[in-house]
Amino acid sequence: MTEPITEAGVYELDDATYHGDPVPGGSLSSSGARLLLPPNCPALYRHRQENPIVKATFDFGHVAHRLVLGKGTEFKVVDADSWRTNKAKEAAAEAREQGKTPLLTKDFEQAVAMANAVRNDPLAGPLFRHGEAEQSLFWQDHRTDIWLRARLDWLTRTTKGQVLVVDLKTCEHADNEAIRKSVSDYGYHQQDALYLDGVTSLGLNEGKPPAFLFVFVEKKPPHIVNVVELHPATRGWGRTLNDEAIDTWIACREHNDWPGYGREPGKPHDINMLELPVWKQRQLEDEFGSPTATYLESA
Amino acid sequence: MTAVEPTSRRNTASTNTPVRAAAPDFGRLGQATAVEASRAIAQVQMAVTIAQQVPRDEERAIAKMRRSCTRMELAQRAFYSLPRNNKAVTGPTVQLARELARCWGNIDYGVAEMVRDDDHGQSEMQAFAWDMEDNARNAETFIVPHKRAGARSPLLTDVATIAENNASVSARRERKVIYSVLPAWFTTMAQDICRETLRVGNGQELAARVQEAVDIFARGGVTAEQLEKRVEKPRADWTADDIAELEILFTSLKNKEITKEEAFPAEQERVTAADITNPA
Repeated sequence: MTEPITEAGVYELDDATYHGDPVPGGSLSSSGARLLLPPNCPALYRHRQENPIVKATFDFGHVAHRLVLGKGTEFKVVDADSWRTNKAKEAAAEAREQGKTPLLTKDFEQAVAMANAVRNDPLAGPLFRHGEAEQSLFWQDHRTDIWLRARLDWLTRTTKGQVLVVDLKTCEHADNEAIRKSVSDYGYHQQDALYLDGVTSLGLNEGKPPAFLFVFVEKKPPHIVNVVELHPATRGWGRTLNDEAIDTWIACREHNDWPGYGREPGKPHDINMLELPVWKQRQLEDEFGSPTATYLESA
Repeated sequence: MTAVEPTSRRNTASTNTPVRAAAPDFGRLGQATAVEASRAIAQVQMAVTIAQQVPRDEERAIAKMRRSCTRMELAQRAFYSLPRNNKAVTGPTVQLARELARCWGNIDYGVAEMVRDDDHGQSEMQAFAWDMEDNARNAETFIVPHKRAGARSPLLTDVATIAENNASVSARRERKVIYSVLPAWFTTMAQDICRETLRVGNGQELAARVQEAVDIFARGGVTAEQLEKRVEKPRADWTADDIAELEILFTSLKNKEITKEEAFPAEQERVTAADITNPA
């Protein structure tokens, strides 16, 4: 464990230190903020805090990060077709002992193809030529003073000198519609807003508004790349949700209560009353008019 | 609504809604309210009878509407614009709705606060519009929390502030129910006339009106360049329709329906391909 972080700034930290949260009183990260809000809940956030995920199996995303950014999880290629043989299992165990992620030759080749697709992309390629990888930002929220942290995949500048945060994402489909859905499902707009607020808060942008680009690359050949920027209004919604997550985090800590679904921290447990999804209600209303009353009434 | 103990702080507000003719059975019912309830029943019965005996003359209704909508005073208040997704959406206002209801005739409309519940910090409200002649009625019952828009507003406790908050939230519902009982063609026609009124303006030459618009916005700190960006063409090419749109925007800014920042968003430059591919 390195020195605790008590001053806002940009730090060079290894993965374990960053994810272990080096801020003494605790800090909230973008992934943490997303765990606190629906469709997740504070109980999930709490669990993840207490049980950090140790990725035993290899993850395309991590390997692609390592290959494109030159930083991140270290891995070791195991020359085998599958994990079924004892030889392969031993090699995997050995790699993990060294703190490396084991991966099979065929998977490695696929990850290399992905990284090459990014490097050869006319937009994404030049983007990753100059810049700094895996910078850790620590700052205090201007509204609540709580500590926030972010780990930027890539920090660079446009040719006009505008500060640019780039995030590399591996995905099944990189078409615009699929990405819109991922943004909404995984809260990428929250990540966008939080990272840019961090950059602005630390003055890295030198007064000019910073920008955020996502580089999506498909896991399957031909590994199509799509470079996207989120609309300012979408970022605005992300910021709204971040504020909500921050307030939830504060309330959970105050009450030392990390509720599951549909309950606010500090409030008593209650049964959730649920209705059909709105679209289904509309559909049924169109077809049948109104719901049938209880059988007792008509008896 | 279940009966509650008489010590409850719930109280009924005076109401002129025709649906709730029977006195509510909770809380203490004041004598004035009881009288008002009986009077309301009689009034409603009479109003319906009269409405059916003296049906509206559509030609007269159109003439009345046309006279109103050609007035600059109404036309200027006929449209709102609100921010949605970085763009302004416009629509007809509740002021226009009320005026059209008056012109169309035989329409009873309004907003009633049915219950004010201080314990739970909310009011139960109803907005209704009733075409007494055709017996088309639309009512929306809704709950207004005693809070300002925005999740983190503190609970309002001041009686006047609560009333004001209720009124402002209800205006939108009132607008919706009135337009739902007015014939769509009547509303569309009225909006077209209002737009034409704004377009023609006070009869000044176009160039003078453009200058006037620029000057008025300049007083509020909006530059001519911002206006040009919003209209999407240089001042020299503005038409009377553009002036009419700016007029609507000006009213909305004045009414605080939209903020200056929302109406004229700061230039957010998007990152272009050239920005990331040309070597620095």
